[in-house]
Amino acid sequence: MKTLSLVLQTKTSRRILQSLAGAAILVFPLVAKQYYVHMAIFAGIYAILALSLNLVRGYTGLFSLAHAAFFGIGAYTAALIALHFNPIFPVVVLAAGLVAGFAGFVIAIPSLRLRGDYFAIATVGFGQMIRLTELNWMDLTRGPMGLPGIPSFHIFGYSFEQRDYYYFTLGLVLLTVWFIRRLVDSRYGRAIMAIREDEIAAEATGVNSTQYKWSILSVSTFFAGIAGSVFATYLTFVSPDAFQTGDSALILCMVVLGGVGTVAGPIAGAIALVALPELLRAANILRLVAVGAIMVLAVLFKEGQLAMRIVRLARRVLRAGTRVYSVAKGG
Amino acid sequence: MINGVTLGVVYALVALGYSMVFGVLYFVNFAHGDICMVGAYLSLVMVSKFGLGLAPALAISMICSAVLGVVIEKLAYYPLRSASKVTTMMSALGMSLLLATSGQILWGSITQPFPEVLTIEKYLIAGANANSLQVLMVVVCLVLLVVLQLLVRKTTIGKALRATSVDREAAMLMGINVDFVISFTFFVASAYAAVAGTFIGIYYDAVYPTMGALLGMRAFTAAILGGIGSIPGTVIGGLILGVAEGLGAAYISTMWRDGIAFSIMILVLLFKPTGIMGQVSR
Repeated sequence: MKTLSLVLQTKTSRRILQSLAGAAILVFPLVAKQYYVHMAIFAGIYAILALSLNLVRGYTGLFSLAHAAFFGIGAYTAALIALHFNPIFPVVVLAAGLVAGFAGFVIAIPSLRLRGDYFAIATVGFGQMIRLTELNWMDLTRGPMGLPGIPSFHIFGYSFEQRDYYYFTLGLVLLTVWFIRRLVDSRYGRAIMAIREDEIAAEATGVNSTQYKWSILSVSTFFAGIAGSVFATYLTFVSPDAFQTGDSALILCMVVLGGVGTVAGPIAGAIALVALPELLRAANILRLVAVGAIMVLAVLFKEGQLAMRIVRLARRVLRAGTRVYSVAKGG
Repeated sequence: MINGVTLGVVYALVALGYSMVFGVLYFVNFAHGDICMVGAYLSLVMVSKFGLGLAPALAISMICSAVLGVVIEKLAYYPLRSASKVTTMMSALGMSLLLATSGQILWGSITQPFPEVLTIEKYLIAGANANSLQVLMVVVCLVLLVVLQLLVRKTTIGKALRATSVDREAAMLMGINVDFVISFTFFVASAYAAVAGTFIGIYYDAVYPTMGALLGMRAFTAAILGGIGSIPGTVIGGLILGVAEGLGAAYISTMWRDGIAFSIMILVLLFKPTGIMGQVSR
């Protein structure tokens, strides 16, 4: 055991492990069943969502509950553009990102006047308004019936298949990770983290917090829109069902589960929560219960020292037990 | 108009729960709406399975929901007292999901009609049509609101509650059992939520697991519209919202009915976050 851990610590062995993992990810769609590839694509889409939400929630400390709504804006934009004009795929992806990013910007301007919890509530309101628009603007979105038959991504006459979607999503996840790493390590990243730690102190040292907040919201929603374009054209169908406040909570849960303010955390959280229904296949509804429970537990573990409380309680029970036992023995 | 007033007082009842919890702990208890749903289901079960009348069913449902509210507070919010508000809100959001989905498992996701518990008679009050259900709802809600106002203003626990909401630490130093006060707040808020949920269930003749979310958001709008922390303000907020929804549904479009609540909420948040009768914001 000791030798194993020692071997793992050397640089070359870590390199080997990393390249093995990389190779496994690359050949995965060639060997795995279609269904698992499908799950992997979903995990990728949600990883992008969780990563981008983490920019807002984890690094800047803003509590947005409308992320799924921006995901929805991206998906609808991609669907409508693809249905009506069907351009090559970079156009669809960029348009979806830009429209969602712009929506984020528009919503950020008024709501950033609010602080903390009021901001969170305003995002719930905006998220609901966006959903209601999708639901009621029948001419454009066909309401609850959704938009079927969205053409897949294509370029130079070549249309994306499932495998291509897998690699494309993988590439997007890597791009997002690279972008977030660069952003967080920059002057910009230090500024947003300063806002998270103490907004007043950050302002005092010359950080224009409002400017940083709206820009980070726009960036975050841009990525959500891109994820939406993949979602819509991969499934070839969109309806307002996938973009509700509950879905925003799901994305938030991925972030909280994986670790707020980390890069690997949201990815792990997304994979875990996408894989979860597989484990709980017997009862699909349990998945949603699990999301709620995981969220409460994750928060309690992290911030409420739940583990410590349980240990303390167990110790107390144990002590009481021994006392009862010794009394019973003595008497 | 009568519809609006009836809904308005019910919203006010739920809104008070948000307002009171916000008053002592400064966070939005997202699970509050779902407690309304649980209360509605409990009353429904009491009436349909055990054949109780409305009053005893409501009483049992109130007590059970109140206990549930306190348990949730102890489990999900108490350990987070020293954490940030946003963290507590995430816990509340998780709790809300947990309650809504548990309701779905326990009682099924189908909308259930509320069994007939009242014979509804029609009256003509001041030239407007009203029925006995509406009158009952308005009267019960108003009585409960007045009781709460008296409770907060005239009793010792009410004084403790006000002290806690002004400054929790100072209240603690004055020998007030703050944890008890907070539990008490959740107890009352959840009991009131059960009444509101039951009434909404009877009124629309529909009880379903996600009813809490919609009711919760509307009530929360009423709370911020009237000004969080003020009981009369909350009642006014509830009435305005109820009437606006009623008129909006009648003259604009029923499809956008939910949109009215959210537009009001956003507008109030943007232009007057303290609401109509709110205190100075913190």
